[in-house]
Amino acid sequence: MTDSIHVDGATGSRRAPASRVGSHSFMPVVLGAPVLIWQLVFFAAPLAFLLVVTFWKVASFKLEPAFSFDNWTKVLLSGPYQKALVYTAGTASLATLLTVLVALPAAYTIAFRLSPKLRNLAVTCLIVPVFSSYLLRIYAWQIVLSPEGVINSVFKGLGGAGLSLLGGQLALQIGLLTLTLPVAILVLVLAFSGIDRTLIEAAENLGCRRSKVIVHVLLPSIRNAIVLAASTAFILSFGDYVSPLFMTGSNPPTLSILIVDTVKSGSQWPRASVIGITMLAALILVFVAGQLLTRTGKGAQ
Amino acid sequence: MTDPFVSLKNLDKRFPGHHAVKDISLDIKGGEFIALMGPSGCGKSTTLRLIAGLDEPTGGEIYIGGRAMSGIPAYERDTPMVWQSLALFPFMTVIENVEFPLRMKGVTPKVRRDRAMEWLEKLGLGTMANRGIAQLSGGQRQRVAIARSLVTQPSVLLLDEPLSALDSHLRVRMQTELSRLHKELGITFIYVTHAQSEAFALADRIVLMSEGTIQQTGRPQDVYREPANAFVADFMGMNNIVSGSVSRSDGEGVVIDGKAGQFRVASKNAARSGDVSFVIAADRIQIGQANMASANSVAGKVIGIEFVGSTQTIFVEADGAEFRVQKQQHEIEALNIQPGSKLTLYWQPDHAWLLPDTN
Repeated sequence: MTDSIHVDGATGSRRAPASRVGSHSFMPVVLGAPVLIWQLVFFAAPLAFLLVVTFWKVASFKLEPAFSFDNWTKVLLSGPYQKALVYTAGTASLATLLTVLVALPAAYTIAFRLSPKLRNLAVTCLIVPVFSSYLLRIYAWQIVLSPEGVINSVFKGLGGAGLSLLGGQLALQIGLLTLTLPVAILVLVLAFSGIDRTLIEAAENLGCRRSKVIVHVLLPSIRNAIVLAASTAFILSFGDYVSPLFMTGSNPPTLSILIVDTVKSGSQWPRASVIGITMLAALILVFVAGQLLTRTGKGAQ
Repeated sequence: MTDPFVSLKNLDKRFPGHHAVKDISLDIKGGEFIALMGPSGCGKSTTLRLIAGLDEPTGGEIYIGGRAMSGIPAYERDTPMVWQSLALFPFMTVIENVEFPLRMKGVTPKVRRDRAMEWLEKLGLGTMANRGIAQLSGGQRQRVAIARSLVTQPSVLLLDEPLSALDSHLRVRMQTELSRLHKELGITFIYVTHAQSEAFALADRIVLMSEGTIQQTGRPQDVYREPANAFVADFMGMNNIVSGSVSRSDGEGVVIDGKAGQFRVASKNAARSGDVSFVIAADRIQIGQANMASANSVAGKVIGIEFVGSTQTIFVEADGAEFRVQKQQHEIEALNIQPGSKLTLYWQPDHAWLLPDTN
């Protein structure tokens, strides 16, 4: 991919007649400018500001420009921050693992075992939640899981004791999967559907049992999509604020909860920014790791 | 070997709304290079898929090495296939692709690496072992696909239009290579193609199929010179089919009254009467001056000349029928033939072939 773009840009303009060189190099600038400006104003600039703020001071609830590493050392060395970091990373890792474990068989079934009509229906059912309000879906789960909720009424009706479903890792994971699963399954369904069916037949023809085709052909074929689905799931659940807030009542706090708390208690914008920057760094790390995983794939395109 | 190695007995395959293979029977000898040929949709690829076990027949039986194949899944048959799309695994290196069938058989890593390497070297790919499939040229990929199918030393190799993705230059080179491999290995090759040139160049025997049935089986030259019916004659390309009715027959052949004149056909199956058709190949027609008196001749007018390469095809209209005549370019120039030229076409009675099938 990057190769072909590079070739177009380099040899394409070099070979163009002199009179057209101007328009050739001018057009990409014109077409690319709005995106570039948008990114600069709404992404790069706030990010740079966020980074600058981490070195500022707060005096009597007001931000004051300064250059001090005080915020960084205070945050990074604080117990609550370290706990929250470990907890958030652990929660996101678990959510990622669960997402992949649930999404793979689901996507396989949709792509290979359903009739075309049912497949379209399933894909529609996956797309709709992506465009519906996440907050709404979490409220719905709250109703289902709360002490007086749907599950508990049924359970109590059968004579059981009330279960405390809300407020633990179970509820949190349910909330996070609500966010990650539709995206992950969609990515994997598309990848599975893109596999050349003759590869499957060729594998069988060469002595691969049907049951082993999944391991030997299907999973390696969609390796990049699995990495994409997993890193998306991690990124979504690592930064999520809604599920920790409503499913566990912010207890224990995740990093995003900690950001809000830090701002609320004493207007500590600089320290909240430190947490934000470290979260961003963690996500970039995950993203780069994902890229490395896909790039070392054998026979990469 | 006297016993057939691959045997199809009343093989039948119906798909919903499509009868792909209609009750065909065929015996293929061990070590034979056989070409299944025919237009697209004739059932040749389906037949190959049935042999490989990729589709289940709806009737009949396939025997390979004397063993009935029904109920034996594809992965348990030793019938590797070279696919039109090659179907190489893009997520594996060259050598991993070639090792794949050995890995499925549970061959140890060391042994399978050596055997795969041996095959890669045999096909001139020794230095490419650790490359990705995307980094290979079309011809190299073709070789990987062949190495992958032969690495298990099968006794049958199935090839489904393996060369159709290559350019004509490479195709000829790969034909030579396949021919060499077939001689070296002495195993059975079953080769599906729609290209007459490939089938003729490679096969010991040709099976010509149309609409799910076998039209003719035989050596390439026999199928070419002695087509069993009008379909075969037409599929072979450069044939003229003339219809008429037998006016008399004797020990040397038949005399046929056609629209364009009276023709004598020297034929082994001369005891015929009624309406018949005979075939005269385009390259066996001679060209004479207009008004030339000769037996087996038609007077006609040139309506077109087509440049094919070393030869040219002349289209001649004679009494409402169109004849195709194939000649070397210098012959055409020597006779000074132009569109509109009047001339006489004639041929020897023993160059014409009476179609056994009157339809």
